[in-house]
Amino acid sequence: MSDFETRVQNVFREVFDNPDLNIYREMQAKHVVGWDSLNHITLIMTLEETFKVKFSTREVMGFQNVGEMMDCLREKLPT
Amino acid sequence: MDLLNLPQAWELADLPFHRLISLGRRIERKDGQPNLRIALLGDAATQHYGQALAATLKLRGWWPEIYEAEFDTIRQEILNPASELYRFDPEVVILFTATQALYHRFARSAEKAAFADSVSSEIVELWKRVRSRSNAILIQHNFVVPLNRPFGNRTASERDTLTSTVTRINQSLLDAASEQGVKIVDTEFQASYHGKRHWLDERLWCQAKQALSPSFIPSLVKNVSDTILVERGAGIKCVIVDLDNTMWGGILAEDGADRLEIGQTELGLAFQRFQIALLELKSRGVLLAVCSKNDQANVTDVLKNHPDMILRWDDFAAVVANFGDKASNILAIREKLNLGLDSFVFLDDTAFERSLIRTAFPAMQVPELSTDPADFISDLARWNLFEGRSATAEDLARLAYYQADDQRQTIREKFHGLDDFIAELGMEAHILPFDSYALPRVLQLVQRSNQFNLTTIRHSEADLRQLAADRDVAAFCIRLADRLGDNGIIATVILRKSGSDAIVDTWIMSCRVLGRRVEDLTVQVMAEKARQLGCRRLVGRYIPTTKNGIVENLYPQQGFAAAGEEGATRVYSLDLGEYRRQSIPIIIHEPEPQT
Repeated sequence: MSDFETRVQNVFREVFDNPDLNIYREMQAKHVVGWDSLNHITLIMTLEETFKVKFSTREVMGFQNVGEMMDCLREKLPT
Repeated sequence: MDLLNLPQAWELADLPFHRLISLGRRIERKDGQPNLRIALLGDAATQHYGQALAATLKLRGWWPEIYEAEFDTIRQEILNPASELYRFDPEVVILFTATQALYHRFARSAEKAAFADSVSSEIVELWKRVRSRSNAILIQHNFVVPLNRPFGNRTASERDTLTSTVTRINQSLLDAASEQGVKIVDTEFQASYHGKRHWLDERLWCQAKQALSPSFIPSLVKNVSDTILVERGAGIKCVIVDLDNTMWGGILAEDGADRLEIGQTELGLAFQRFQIALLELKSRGVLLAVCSKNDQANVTDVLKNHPDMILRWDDFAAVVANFGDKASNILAIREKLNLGLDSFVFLDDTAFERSLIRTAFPAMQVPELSTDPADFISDLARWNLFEGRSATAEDLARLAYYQADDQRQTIREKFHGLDDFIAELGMEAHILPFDSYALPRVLQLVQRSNQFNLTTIRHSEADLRQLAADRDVAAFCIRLADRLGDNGIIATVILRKSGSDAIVDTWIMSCRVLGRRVEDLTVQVMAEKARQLGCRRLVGRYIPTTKNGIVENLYPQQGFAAAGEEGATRVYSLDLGEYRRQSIPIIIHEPEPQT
């Protein structure tokens, strides 16, 4: 797991309050206990604060799975 | 769960949203934890708000039960006498109204000039309906003045803009609230403080009808909980402040009154402005008290005579300045003011003192003061420690009552947990030579220290260098660190060999670390260095000055025997053959001996 993925995973663990949570690209909301629309917003906001990025209105709700979310996030990071 | 690791009330505003929720989830109901039934009605999404408010109240010792009405059903719930709201029989009713919801209504409104009146009278009407059926504490959020600027800088002066409309609604609500006994939560202030650009997150309103980003919800609901709990009798009634580097820059005992930074320097200005903020609190009836490790006479002199002090002697209900432990001193202040421990906030720049007081009195608010005094005012605003009613004549009279009393406190009750606390600090002492790194601070101590200074010999820098190189001299200083941070160099000692005696030429310690057994440690290191010099006796002298009364009995306390007087100077000696090392909870590090 890359450094970047570990940081994303840590955000997931904090937001869903589960220190053993392991993320993978195909993972979707239905695979995670507590990933409802409410916690989704918390997740997005926490990712924004952690990585100092901003998702667009479309992106906020538009990800199909964790892989897409990470790709979108990575593109926003300074290279 | 360890009570000490739980955040205090002031900290709740600073927690990330998910952390607040997760902490709240870990709280289990304790016996006697009071119940609180809260109805939450909103025209914005309320789920994050409800979760966060529940967690906040649990962390503050209450057991909330929250009824969250369906989205945007404020009117139905309040107007229908058979609604869930009234069946729930709430003790608190919160109306969480969002400026974003007004936006669309205002845009469609044909009568823009009358819009403000119509919205505020509608809200006041709802309050009256609630009042007619319930005695609940009624809490109304005011509206955030929006960012739309159709007229640029003239926007606020044009009546037909949402900006001026919202401003007028907020004013009408304030006017009506006192009449109706309604508590207004100042959402507009919160949004301004955190930055409206971030607070009014358009994406979240459009996606999920979120009136604000969850990042700011902990701060908002902290203010809501303050508003509720004040109605239940909570509230800070007294601020206990430290002096050195809290009320002014510098250390009175080391720098002297004329070198303190108050007002005249950049940093001094920051302290002076903080004093103005404290004076505002005093004017509204919050008591101020001083708890300082200092000499009482010196403190009195500064409070009465320093030309740049904003806060004066008369502004304080109690002034306790001595070199005893602050926990016992706070017990003395409490006894004098006769207030519960949860009525106090303690402001001190020193991590050691904060940690001690937090351990000793978990009910007392002990915020983490910034290392930069320029942050104090805005931090206090965010922590919202002083939620409260307006000052009564009685509040203001209270101060005069305390002032009439004697200011000097006698310590009757002693705090007993100090030894345990000190033992768990993980203190580490580094015994250092007078090298080029240590010398500037050693020089400062030698030149400036007045109080914990046995001989007050003002060696010059050249003298110190010479002493450091002399084979018949042992010169060292002590740097102290603990789990709370590095205290820097806090003691310095010079021993001169004279036959089989090691004469203590200089012994200086920073008063900040008094009562942490550094004195005991210093004697132990002195004994060792004296032996290395080939001596059999330590000989100490106390040369009295007007300022060093604090160490008058230090040598006898450390087991030295009286060995005569030379004028006013008292001489003491310690036979190294009889000296026994004590068990001291400080780990000693010494550099490798130079060969």
